[in-house]
Amino acid sequence: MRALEQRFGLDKPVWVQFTLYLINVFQWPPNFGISYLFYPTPVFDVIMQSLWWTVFLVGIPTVITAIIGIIVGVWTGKHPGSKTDTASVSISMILWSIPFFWLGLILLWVFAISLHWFPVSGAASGGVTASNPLQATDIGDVLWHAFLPMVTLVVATYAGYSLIMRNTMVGELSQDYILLARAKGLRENAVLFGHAARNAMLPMITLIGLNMGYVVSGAILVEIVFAYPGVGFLTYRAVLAHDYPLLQGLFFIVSVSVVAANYIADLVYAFLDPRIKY
Amino acid sequence: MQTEESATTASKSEFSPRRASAISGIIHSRRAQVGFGIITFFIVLAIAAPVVAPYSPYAFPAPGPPYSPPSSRFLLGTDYVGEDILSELIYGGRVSITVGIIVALLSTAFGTFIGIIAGYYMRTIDEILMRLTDIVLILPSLPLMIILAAYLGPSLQTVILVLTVTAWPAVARVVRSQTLSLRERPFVDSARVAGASDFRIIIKVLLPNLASIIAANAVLITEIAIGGEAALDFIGLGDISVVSWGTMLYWAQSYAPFNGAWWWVIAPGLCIVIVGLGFVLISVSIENVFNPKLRST
Repeated sequence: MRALEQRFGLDKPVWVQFTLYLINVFQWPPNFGISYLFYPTPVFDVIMQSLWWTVFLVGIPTVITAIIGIIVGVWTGKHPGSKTDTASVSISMILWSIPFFWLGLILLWVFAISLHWFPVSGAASGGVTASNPLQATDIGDVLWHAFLPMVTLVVATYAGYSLIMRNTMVGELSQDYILLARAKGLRENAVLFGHAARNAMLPMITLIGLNMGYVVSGAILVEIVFAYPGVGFLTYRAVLAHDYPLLQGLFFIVSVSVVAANYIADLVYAFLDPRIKY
Repeated sequence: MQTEESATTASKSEFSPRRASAISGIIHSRRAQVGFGIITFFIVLAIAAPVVAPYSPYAFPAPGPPYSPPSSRFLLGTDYVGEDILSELIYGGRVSITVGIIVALLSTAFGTFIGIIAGYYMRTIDEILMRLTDIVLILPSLPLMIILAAYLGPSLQTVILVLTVTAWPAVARVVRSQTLSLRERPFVDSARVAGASDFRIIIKVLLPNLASIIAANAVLITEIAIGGEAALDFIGLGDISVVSWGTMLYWAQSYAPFNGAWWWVIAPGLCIVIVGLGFVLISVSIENVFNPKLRST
């Protein structure tokens, strides 16, 4: 028992433990201690085995939803108050209220358990052997496993993008430069996409950054539903096993990633919009 | 729906800043009516649970056989021990809605306090409070909830505390930016010249002018909190012995799919969606009526 306490450093006073923790974290590779659940693998190694799966699972739906959201937003923002607009906004509000995990459960039920079109769990047939999706031998198989979780994420995050894009679009279209563009005799599509959408897309960049925290939260739930071996499912297992070093490490890595995503979004925004200075 | 949009446009142009007309603007918006209808229905159902529910959700022995599909005896079927799903839904709504409202009240109160203080006093106080707010704001909310709940142990109080901790920063941000613009208005200066103390200006002058934006945020937080409570329960970080929409889905996830009990999964999720939609509709209509950007003057 004493040997175990020493191994995990639990015999020292709390403030010493905390200082040691801080020193250990700011190294490369960061030392979060040893996982209880996957003893004796270091926490950092455990996390790295699942991190890229989550980046893959979150990244592709983020790009897809951003594109769909921008197109729908431009389309509906063109005539605010029209039937198409009202229908689209109403659908977005309903989608906004749907819990990620419930949608995932239903898709899992219908398409995996009942119809057998997609696998019920996991990221690859016969378990995951590669440490990231790019090293996987069978890309088709990986995509087949990721399909339902990705669809869930796309549907659940779509509402935010389309609503914000629509609202900024409505704002941009009432500006003077749009009137000028129309007066020049430009075709309507050139006005919409060449002028208004380009400006309305700027806030979308910030939104993609800000949304990262939300998408990561959603991904955790979706991974739990589909038993997808990413950071979210790992968090779930760490909670069940009371693996506190692993939980702390996960929280640290996820938070740093989200903060970094926001920072990058800010930099891109400043690069694209010369009016912004940092 | 065309009429609804033109109605809001009309109310925009003839908008007068008097509160009475603003409130009637909310009441006459179609979206708000639907929202209020949904929320009233569920709150009445929650209050009248013992009268309305056909069985007790904790009945022992359970009233029916396990996994019975919807029938005249069990309108929405039964779960894995034979409890009536409809009764569980009605009682579960009590927990989910109560948690949502408590979290909204707590986080709105705290966020408003921080936001007003930061916005009114500015400079150093503002800097300190806003850096603190930003730190909590930028942390991904669900991982933060999970790690807090994992340390505090699963219980209903934990869920409320954890949801409040993650919800207040957004309120503080909004209230602060509104306070910053309000405090430069002439009527705040005149109150100061008239000798009003800081406390009096905050309570009597700033707070009433912030009421609408605070209300819109509180309604939205209720929706977010109901979803968050369900998510935490679903992961097993809530009190799984209490029947709520989230714990229903927690049990359903483990038992329902492989026994074909689709009614057990559909019902609680649908309730979360409908109630959530109700709160979103109300919040959007409050914002539409009060948002200064939408006014023509």
